[in-house]
Amino acid sequence: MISAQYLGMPLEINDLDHENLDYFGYCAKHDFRLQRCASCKLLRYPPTTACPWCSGPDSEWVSVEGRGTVHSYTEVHHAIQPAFKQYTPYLVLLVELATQSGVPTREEGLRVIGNLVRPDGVLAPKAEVERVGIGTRVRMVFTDVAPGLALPQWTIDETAAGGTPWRYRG
Amino acid sequence: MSRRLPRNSCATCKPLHLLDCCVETDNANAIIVTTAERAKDLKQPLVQIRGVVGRCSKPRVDMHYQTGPISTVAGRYAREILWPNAGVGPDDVDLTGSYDAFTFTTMLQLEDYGFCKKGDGGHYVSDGTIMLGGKRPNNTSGGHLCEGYTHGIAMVIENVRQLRHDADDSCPIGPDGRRQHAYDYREGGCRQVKNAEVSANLGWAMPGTGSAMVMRRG
Repeated sequence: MISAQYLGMPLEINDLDHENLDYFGYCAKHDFRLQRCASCKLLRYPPTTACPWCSGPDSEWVSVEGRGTVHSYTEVHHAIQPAFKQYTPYLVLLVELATQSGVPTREEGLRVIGNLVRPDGVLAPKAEVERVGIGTRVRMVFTDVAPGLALPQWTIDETAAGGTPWRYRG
Repeated sequence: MSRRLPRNSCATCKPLHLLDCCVETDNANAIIVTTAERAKDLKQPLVQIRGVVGRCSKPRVDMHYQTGPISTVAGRYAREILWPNAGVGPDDVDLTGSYDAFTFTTMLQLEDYGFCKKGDGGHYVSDGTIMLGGKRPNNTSGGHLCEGYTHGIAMVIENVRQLRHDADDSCPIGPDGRRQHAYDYREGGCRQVKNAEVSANLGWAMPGTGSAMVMRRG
């Protein structure tokens, strides 16, 4: 079991949740891994017991490059958790990985949810939040929460070329 | 509620503003369903359930954000069950009741059930179509956004009222005990949709799962 506190919230991964224990176990080592199906060889996210594409029960954990493009996002101004209020506005990003984008069909991809953070894993300040929108290139960094637990998060990939992202202007 | 009102309210979780989100409400609703034969003896006009689709999900529903365009919701799949079951299509529907937990849920449902083209939901809800007196009014009792969050059931009750031609508005009650509807849709006036015969209720559990029902008068 993994049990920790993050910004005033209890995080717990139960002993029965084998796939998430494995996934976050690798994240704790700052190693981003996804399951690859032994039958059809497709990667999948989020971690699951069987392949969503071919139902194959067997898989192996393989390292995946933590780079991608913002597919969609929300910008939180009204934080429910008290400890998040000091960080508003903050972003929740849905990032499509460069790996396996548009596979197995054009409309599919590995889309990984995380917050926009600074390179050191702390939620990003307003000036950075306002630079990010749909199309922004990002790279994965980890927020260390406790021994044995780190959260995969996203930060702006300053090395990637990119056009102007789309942002909601209202 | 006007189109401008939500955008002028404070931002909660952009692109949503405060008035894009429905009102949390403590309430209770009840619906009594019986056979058509038994209903003929009851004092209210008959409203028949003509077709339902219950808890229809997108393929790979647990991976909604991974599979397909994220703006495609369960209605895209539910419509293939709903309309053949009901024996009607969107063009035959006189009024709708859509699950408006947020403003965007109504637009995505109206698009995916086929009331307008994909991507045209914004125009559909702002060009007068869904207003009282419009081509196909939606959520005539206010919906979740303006009446209260009843998880879709108040819109079913409202559409039963509408199909009975008995919306409980401010029109006077005549000597036969029934409301004398004026069809004057100014604020505070009549709420009855004229000659309402067929309604559709569009329910939303989450983006990838939904239910729907078509009802007909008589």
